[in-house]
Amino acid sequence: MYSRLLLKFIKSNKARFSLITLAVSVAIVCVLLILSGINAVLLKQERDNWAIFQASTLDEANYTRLAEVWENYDVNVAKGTRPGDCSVTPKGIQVFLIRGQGDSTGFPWVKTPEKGEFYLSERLSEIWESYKRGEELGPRFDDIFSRLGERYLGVLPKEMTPSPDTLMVVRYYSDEDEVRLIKAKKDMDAWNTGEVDFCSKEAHLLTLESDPGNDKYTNPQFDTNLAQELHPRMNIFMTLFELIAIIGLLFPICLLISISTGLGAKQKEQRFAAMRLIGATKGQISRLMGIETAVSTVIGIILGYLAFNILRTPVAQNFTLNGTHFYQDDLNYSPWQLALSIVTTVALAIIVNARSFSKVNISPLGVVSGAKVNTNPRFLGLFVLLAGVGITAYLLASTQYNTERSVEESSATLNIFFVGFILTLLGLLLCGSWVIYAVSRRLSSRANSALGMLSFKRWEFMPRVVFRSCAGVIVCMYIGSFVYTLAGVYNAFAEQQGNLLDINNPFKEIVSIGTVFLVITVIIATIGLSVSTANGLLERKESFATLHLSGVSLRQLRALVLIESVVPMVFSVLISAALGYFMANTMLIASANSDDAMGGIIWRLDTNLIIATLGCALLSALAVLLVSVSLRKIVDPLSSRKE
Amino acid sequence: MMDKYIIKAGALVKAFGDKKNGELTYALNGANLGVYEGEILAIMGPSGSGKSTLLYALTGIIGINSGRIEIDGQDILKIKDSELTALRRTKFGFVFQFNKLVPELTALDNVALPLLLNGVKRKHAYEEAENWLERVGMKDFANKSATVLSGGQQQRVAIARALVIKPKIVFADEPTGALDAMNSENVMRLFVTIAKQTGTTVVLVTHEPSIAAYADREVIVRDGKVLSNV
Ligand SMILES: Nc1ncnc2c1ncn2[C@@H]1O[C@H](COP(=O)(O)OP(=O)(O)OP(=O)(O)O)[C@@H](O)[C@H]1O
Ligand SMILES: [Mg+2]
Repeated sequence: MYSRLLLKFIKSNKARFSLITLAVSVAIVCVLLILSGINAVLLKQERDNWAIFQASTLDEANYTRLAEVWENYDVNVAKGTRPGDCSVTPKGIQVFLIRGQGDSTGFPWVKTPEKGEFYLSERLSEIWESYKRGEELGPRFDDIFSRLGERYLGVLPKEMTPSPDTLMVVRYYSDEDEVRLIKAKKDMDAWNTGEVDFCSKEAHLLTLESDPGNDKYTNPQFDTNLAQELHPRMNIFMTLFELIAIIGLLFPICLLISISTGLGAKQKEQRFAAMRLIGATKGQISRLMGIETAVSTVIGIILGYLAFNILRTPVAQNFTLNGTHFYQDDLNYSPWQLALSIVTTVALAIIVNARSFSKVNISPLGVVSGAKVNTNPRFLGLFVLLAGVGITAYLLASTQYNTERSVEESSATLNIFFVGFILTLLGLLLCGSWVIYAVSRRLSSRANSALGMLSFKRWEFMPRVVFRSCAGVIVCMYIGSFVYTLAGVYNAFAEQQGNLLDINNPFKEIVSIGTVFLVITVIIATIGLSVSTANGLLERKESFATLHLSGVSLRQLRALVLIESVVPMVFSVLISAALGYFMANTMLIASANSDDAMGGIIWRLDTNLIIATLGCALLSALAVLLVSVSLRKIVDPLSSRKE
Repeated sequence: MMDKYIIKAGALVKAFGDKKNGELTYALNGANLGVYEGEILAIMGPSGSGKSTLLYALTGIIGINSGRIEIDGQDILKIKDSELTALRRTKFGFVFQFNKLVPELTALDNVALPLLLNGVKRKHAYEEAENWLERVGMKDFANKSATVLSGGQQQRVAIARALVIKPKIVFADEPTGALDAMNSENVMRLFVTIAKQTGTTVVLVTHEPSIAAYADREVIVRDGKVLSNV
């Protein structure tokens, strides 16, 4: 049923139109989500930095930030962990103690709290209200509300609270606080020097500069910039994210547009040929096709824009960074960014369309699709791939896992690594069709079975078409496998350390956001695969009917279609997953340094990676299988002769 | 020689229905046909009379509403789909106007394909295919892609492909329909000569009297009935 509909759809003129619309609107949604996501992250960081800002502009500022505990989170269990490691607990209640004069230049409209005065973040004020109503909140709050002060100044402005989830108190730094903090500092020193087995909760949550011999605890240094507190790999991940976002998303979308523009060329053959015969110029026909693409692109942009606005609320509600949500308003784009993404998408659609159209030769004898004119793919791309893999292999061979390495040396190696990483990706895309061509050529001259020969010949004959259906998945799997492997190592490391600060593990979110991206791209790639498989079936209707007549059973034909499309796909998935895995481990080995040890966990196979690889392969097989159901109709001699 | 029936078909009825208004077209309406072993039979008749439908029905490619069909002693309406497929693979050859060559393959590959399907070893299959290409005068084009061959050349290759498995019966539906008069004469002459040499039975649908002239016998189909089953 599904495949019948798909075939019918592809034959109709609507297919090209709606697939381009779909691809463009998905592109717009994705680009807007990425841009607004980056905006939201930046805004969140900016808001998180306010305390430094605030304090630095007060006269004689005395301030500190004290993170208290939320949800029975018992840090004392974390025996053997340096206290500094757990200084950031985003899900805890952050208490800012301020003692100073004058107004902050950053937020001059917010009165600097004086003795007994306090502010609460919006979320915390709600909790406080229910606490006051006498609802049992138990020891979770560690009596934090009893220390607030007497005068409630109101809800903190949004600009000071990084997230709607933020639990934050800003209050006057009292003399009692000073006593508590000095005690905490002493506790921690005792813990540091091994006098006691574990330090107090309070001390644990403070990052205090060890200042031996100084009893007076005045100006504790606290680095409030969360971003800098994150693992150093975070920066690499941000870069990679942009890579995933830009290449990983836009590439399959371009492929889908390119596959769609090639659709129905055969169906249009007669129409265009007839027009050429009665004197329409090539330009006129190109324009006709161009108008179609332009209209579907415009509709796609409008739909994508609407879809983004619908998706914004659920995205803001469901996505977290460091365990906290974004403000929905932060998840936004500037007019400039909107214009840029529209221009980029339109440009891509035009380029892709023009490229695939330039390969179609409209003559009065009919449309001859470029792929049929058998120019052999060039093998130059192989050099790029070899260069990329070579660089990485060299790094792997010449370096060892070494935690003594300096950070500078390690980042120099990382730069080389990234060149290898990008070259490998480019090489994969550039030499794919040549590899398919070369391998199948070798195999087809040896094939002993008819089905083997048929599939090898098909690959040899149309390597580009075959590769185009796999290229999207190659990009997703390569980057996906890289990210999953690294994140898996980080998680394993955290576990090995007995580190309970799971809530502070950015890799959890990276894995979940990465998975969403992988799912989107794989779905787009699968749509592309089904469409091109179905289109291939239609174009080879006669061949299949002939084969069926010559005694190839339907089951064998189905196997043929499956082999032809799924084998290259599975190979692509496996090769790119393996390369991503190889890359991730090379990076771990070559860039390990004193700051970034990862406990020597390398060559670890992450479950997510295995699931993604298998899922990807299965999904593509399923897509082709569903399409191949319609073979019975295709090989029906009655329908094929009616064409 | 010409006394044993290889195909016996009786009272064939095939109706194509229009589901919407329930009107039925009877493409076959009580057709009877017997084909002798080794003969070349031409099926003639006006357009739309049911010639192609008859041919497809005989091979089991399309099902029929009622009737009997026996080929080489087997009731093909009773056998399983897989057996029918096997029958097509081993005993039937087809030359149809629309069933072109497999475009990804060379001429030689196309001819070797049916043998490979029958499990013949690659080396042997290709030798045999080369022989057949030579017989149809296409040896020089053996390694050319099927797409670059002319219509007449493609049809020669198709004939070699149909005959390479030494089928008992070759079914042909307007095999030269797309060719000009001279080309179709040449192709038909070749086809008939080889069929005669190998003793292959040929069932040939055409509406060209000049093509039908190559046949041993002619029948006419009109309104779904076989008129002159001499
Ligand atoms: N799949 C089908 N659906 C509906 N009607 C069909 C179908 N196939 C054939 N017919 C009808 O059956 C009748 C016989 O068709 P058939 O193709 O057998 O004719 P033919 O003798 O081969 O004609 P021609 O010489 O033009 O090829 C025609 O009226 C045709 O319209
Ligand atoms: Mg006909």
